[in-house]
Amino acid sequence: MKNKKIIMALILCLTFFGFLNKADAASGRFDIHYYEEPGYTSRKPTYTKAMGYLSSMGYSVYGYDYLDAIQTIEKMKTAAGFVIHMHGGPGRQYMKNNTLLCGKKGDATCRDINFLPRGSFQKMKIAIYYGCETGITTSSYGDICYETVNKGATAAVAWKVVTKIDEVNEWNRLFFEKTTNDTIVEGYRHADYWVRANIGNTAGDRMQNNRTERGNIYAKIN
Amino acid sequence: MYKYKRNILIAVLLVFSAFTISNTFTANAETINKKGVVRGEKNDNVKVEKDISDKYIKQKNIVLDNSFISLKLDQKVFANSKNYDVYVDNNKSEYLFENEMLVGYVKNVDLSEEKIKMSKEQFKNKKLSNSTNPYQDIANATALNLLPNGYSLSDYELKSVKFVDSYNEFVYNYVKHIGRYESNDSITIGIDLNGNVTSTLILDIGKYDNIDVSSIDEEDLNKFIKSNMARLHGNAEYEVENMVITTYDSKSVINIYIRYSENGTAGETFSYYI
Repeated sequence: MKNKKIIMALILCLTFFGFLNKADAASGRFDIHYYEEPGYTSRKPTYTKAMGYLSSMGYSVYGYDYLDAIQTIEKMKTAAGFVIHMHGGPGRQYMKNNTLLCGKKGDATCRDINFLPRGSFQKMKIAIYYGCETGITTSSYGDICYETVNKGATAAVAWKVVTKIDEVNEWNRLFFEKTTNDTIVEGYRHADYWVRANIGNTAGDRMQNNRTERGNIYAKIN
Repeated sequence: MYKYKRNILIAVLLVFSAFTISNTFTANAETINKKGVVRGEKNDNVKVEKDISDKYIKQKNIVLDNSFISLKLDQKVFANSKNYDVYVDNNKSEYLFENEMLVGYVKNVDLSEEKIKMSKEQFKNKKLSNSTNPYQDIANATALNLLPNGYSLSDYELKSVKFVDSYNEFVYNYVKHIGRYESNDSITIGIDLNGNVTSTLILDIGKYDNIDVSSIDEEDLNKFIKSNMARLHGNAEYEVENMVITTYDSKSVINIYIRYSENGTAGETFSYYI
């Protein structure tokens, strides 16, 4: 009888410490959306090169190849992190079936973030919008990063220029390499420096000098 | 006795299971960070070797800005025909060596919210020196120091000065032009608001000096762009944003950066061998 009690106590203690050990780690679903176009440089490495780092932080990582805006925004509501790498335009991302993921409802094809109830993205630690000019604000489509943070995401980032697929793939890898242990802003600085070293001066300029950043960049995602 | 042994066995199994479940993610972290000798996929441009074996010299001492710094080899990076040996100091700052030459460093700086806010506040009205542009003076002096013997800063154009608001740094970028083309031969200096140099990077110094741009057949170059755009993007409208002489697959190329419209705005890059 005494032995049983000791054994039970031992199990409870170890299980408790095990969960304590995990309490610091990130958890939840981290979604990475990309668009594989035949004949183009692959955008899939945005997912494959980041998933190891994200798994190591404790996330369950999911890659989605080309969903429409409605499916995407539904997934965003329950995601702990969100990355998208597709064609873009000011304040919007181009999605499957001629739908748009937008800051505001610029036209009938938009599924806009502004329309969502407050707190819809409260689980989301970061949203990264890779695509050409998605970081530009327009009166019609809005500021996609501002709208994302306004709905509860901790931070959001997008670019105001034409982005290049291989540069994005590498910047993204470097960002998650750093944020495995450090803050979002440290991730930005690390990725900016190293994308210039690894890919070239033009890539460094493009990724470093043309961002729209919203939310708390001093937060950690790990 | 049998019951007692069975209970012990069940207990051991349960403890083992609890440990396995609770440590799954931690175990993943270790696999990625320690085991990954070559990370990435088959056709990657960039590979990182983290496990530094004994075949490499692991330590190095340098003198930088009159300071003696001890460095330890941390990783090797193989990036688009470049091989960087990346050393770190005690403060986790990184130093990049290419063919044993220091080509850059990035200091590990305090980027906490308090520090960034304090720096912005302190330097709102403060003048760093009597110079009209003290940051540029620092950038110029640093760039000059970085250039190997025989190279002159006057061969470089100050292409851009940007202030990166999120991490409080001025970024000075100097590039060398080869004929009418910009090149990847460049110098980049990061300076914080206190005037401290926080990062440096020199790329491809002197590498394209011997390229004879007059031999580049511009008609052929334009045909190359046109035919490839048609092949990949049909009748999409496009414009050439810029062209830069650089290296791809160990060969000198002109990288052509294109902006086009097709299901939104998009970018394309071609490399034209020269």
